[in-house]
Amino acid sequence: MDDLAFITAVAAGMVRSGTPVLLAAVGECLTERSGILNLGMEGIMLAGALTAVIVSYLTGNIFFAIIAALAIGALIGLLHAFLCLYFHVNQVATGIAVTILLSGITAFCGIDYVGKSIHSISAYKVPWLSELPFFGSVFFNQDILVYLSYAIVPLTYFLINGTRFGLSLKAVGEEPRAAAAAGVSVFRTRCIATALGAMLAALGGAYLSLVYAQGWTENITAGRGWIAVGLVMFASWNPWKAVLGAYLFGLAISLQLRLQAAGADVSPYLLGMAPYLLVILVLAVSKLRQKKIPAAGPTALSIPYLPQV
Amino acid sequence: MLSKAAGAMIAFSGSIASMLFGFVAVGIFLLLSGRNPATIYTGIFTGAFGDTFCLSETLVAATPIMFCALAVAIAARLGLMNIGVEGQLLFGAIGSTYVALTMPETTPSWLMLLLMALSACVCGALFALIPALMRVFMDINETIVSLLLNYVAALTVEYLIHGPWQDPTTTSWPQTMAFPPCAEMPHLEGSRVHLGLLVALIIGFLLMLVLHSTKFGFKAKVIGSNPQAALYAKYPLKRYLIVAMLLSGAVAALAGFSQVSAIEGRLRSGLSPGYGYTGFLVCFLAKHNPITIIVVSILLGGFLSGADSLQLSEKLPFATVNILQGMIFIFLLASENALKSWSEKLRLKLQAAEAS
Amino acid sequence: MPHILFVFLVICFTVLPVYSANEQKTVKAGFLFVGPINDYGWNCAQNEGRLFVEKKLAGKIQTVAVENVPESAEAERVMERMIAQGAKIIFATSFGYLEPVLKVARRHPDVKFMQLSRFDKRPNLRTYFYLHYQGSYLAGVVAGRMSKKNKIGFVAAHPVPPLLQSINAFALGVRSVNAKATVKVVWTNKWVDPAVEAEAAKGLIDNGIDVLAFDQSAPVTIVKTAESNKTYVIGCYTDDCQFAPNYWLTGVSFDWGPYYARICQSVLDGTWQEGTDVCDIKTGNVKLSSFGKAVPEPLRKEVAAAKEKIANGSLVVFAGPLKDREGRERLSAGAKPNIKWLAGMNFFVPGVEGTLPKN
Repeated sequence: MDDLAFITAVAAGMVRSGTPVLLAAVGECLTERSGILNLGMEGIMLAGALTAVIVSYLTGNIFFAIIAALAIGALIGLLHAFLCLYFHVNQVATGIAVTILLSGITAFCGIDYVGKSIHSISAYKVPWLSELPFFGSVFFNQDILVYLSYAIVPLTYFLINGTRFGLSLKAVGEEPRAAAAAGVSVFRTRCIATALGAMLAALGGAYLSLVYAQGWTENITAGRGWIAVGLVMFASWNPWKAVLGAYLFGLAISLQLRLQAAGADVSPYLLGMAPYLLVILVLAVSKLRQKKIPAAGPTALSIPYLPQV
Repeated sequence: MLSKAAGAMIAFSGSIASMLFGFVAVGIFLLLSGRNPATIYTGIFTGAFGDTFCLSETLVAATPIMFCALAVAIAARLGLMNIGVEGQLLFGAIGSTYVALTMPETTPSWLMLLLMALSACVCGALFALIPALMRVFMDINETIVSLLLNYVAALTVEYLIHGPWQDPTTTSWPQTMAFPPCAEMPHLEGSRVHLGLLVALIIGFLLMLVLHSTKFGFKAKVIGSNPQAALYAKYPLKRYLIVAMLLSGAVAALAGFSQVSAIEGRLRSGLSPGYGYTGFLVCFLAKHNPITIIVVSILLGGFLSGADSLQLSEKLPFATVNILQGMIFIFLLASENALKSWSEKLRLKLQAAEAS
Repeated sequence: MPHILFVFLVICFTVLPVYSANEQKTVKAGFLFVGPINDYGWNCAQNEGRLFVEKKLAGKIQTVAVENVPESAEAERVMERMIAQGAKIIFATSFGYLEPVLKVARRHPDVKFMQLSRFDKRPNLRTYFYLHYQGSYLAGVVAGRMSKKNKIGFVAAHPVPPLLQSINAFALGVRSVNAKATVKVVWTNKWVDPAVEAEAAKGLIDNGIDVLAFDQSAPVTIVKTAESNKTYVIGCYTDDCQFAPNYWLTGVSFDWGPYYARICQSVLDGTWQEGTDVCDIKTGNVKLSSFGKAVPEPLRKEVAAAKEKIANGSLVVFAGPLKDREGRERLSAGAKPNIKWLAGMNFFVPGVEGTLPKN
């Protein structure tokens, strides 16, 4: 295997490994911009993954499976938003509670779907683009969900920074009271943002089960939801930087497995630390380079909104 | 004028009602799935507190959670989200294992345990220092760094037990050699309850004292709740943040120390099935109050150990433990606030009625 | 929040039932599983063994099972509870349970304990080993014959003796028919993480292998990944032929039921003794899964013959002289491996490529 082939394979693996985390992280960016902290991403990914498997198994249709996963994501997102907005619960605690609950529910409901053959998504070469040297085989020899993720990131960025909804989103995330005074519905904006974010996380889960695992396994996400939440801070709430973080994470996974295959003589446990250390390192380096810019999140993040006070 | 006590009573009964509401709601869910909630609840409660064995196992399960939750609370006091207690726990275990394996077997037990505890604290604190320094000097959020470091810590343990520290006598099994007897923490006669519980309780009460009646505690609270004011008052912000993270790491490390010393007797993988994350949740449920943390840890420890009965007697899969736990938490969180505002309204109404 | 305690206590004492272990004539057997029983892999196979016992000895043996029991403090508590419920025999179906088993066994001399894959001696402890590697050797023969590029991949979870036995036996099988072939090992560090498993398989395939074997707790993902990447695959734990209709070669699976039933029967008869059992091809506990359509008839016959030889003892997989990858002699000429030697395996045989974390 020559160097270029190796690098290409690593990079293609990076895109695959990074995509589920990417989707969830971009979703969390959107949610947190509205001032809601959703720590339930791990659980929502699990729910999305299982829903996609069940629907794919029952209908044999990938399209329905993805739609169903998105719907479940939206539903759970609304539940979380409802808890946060109506009951003013502690958002850190509910997020963790939602994850515990969903890991239980998915394990319970998934019993009949373990080891079942489902219709999974296979790679689809983009006709002209996949012929490009290097980039073609890295970015355009993937599956439709990856291509979808290429579209989702700029769309999310545009949604936040280029639309009226984006303006209200940022307003309720920064100064909910002022936003409410200006006629923006804090409740509705936050609900929409949380639901959209959860839909993306569920899509990330569906990616894991439909593309990667091609079936259901308990705890299929193995902690990727938490990583996604972490990457949002890494990305300072910017979807583009979330992509960077997710791909960085994917790169380290892809690289360590391929280094092993290529015969690197390092303990696999030390190699396994690479994804985590790499993200920390890049975080530190990027902070050192732009020390002046403070990267505080939305000021109203995770603060319950009490309109009457 | 309605007395303050009556208002407190209303709030108090509101909280109790919220608890009951959570259990009733989950009970309805259980009924709908064709189970008898009464037998399930009694199964869990007797499994948790039914006899001395159950009680002792509850305390055993509660101890590491308590340490971790207290560790989270120290950091949270200054507004820091230390989700890295899991990793600090593991590094504490690594630190005490190093001492247990290198000191001569003839070391007196008290000295051995003291050195192990010290080493654990140093390792845990140093591991917590990484996110602390990055936060203070580079303004990098401590939550993500400490979260990522948890995975690094788990892999470090795996590396050590598969590599340099692997037990040479049983070749190839991922664990270290058994600790010498002097490295074992004293137990309560006839049970697995160990000295760690006492240490955790003492730390809890000390923390309560420090946070609520010392200058340090007051300043910490100001820094945590109003950093602008703290800056204005020229508090040594950086020093406080670093000290808090060091303390937090050290307390979490004691959980790792007590687990390897009292329960496992060696370092091995699967040392912590997520005590750090459970502790994180407990801390938030208990609203960072050390005494409440102790209570909630014991209750949660009881639930987790009592939930064995779901599988043993009810033949339900493990998943139901998580379903129950998650539902109870959600209902608890939701109803607590809802009922609080409701009881607040009631109080105001009563007040108004009295005034007129 | 002290009121929470109050509520708990109220509930405890108002509805505290008298906890009476119901008297019964059946013997209770407890099973500890390290992961979810529906992983379609290791724990699933173990649980099927338990269900077989329930069916075969219905009315005589009653089983209780707890899944997801960590190999730590928790295991001790779960075993104590099983005993409190009247369990007379406990099956610890993962290697990490030995230490807690020893502690509990010391406290309960009247309860019998069955420990998998580990070696120890106590009057109320019986250990049992599964020679999965005998199947791996046969699978290696298939892989060695089917590989055109002489590069074979192996995705494995953690470097522990049973897996090392499998990998080494697999490589010996490969080398017995194809001296040029190598087996590349990639560790995932995880018993179950489908995405990492799939990526590890993909990494090996990118590296140019044309046959893929693995040892992971939940096998479906790798089998399907191999099929979609047009790479032959050797299964593990369950017969997953259906997931790779074109590229399935064969696989190694377990059948625990008859063994567990025999042990439970010996408890009923009062003939249970301490000691060590071996579950292998001869006893029928280790089995070769069905062949895929890609495997030609002569090769099937060759494997069947080798299987026969292993069963009657004329073919020993780890036969001395056996040298490791570094050339050190691990088994002298003429020596046969014993259980203790197998349970302590910590090396790779020649032909295996990959790291082995070592001191």
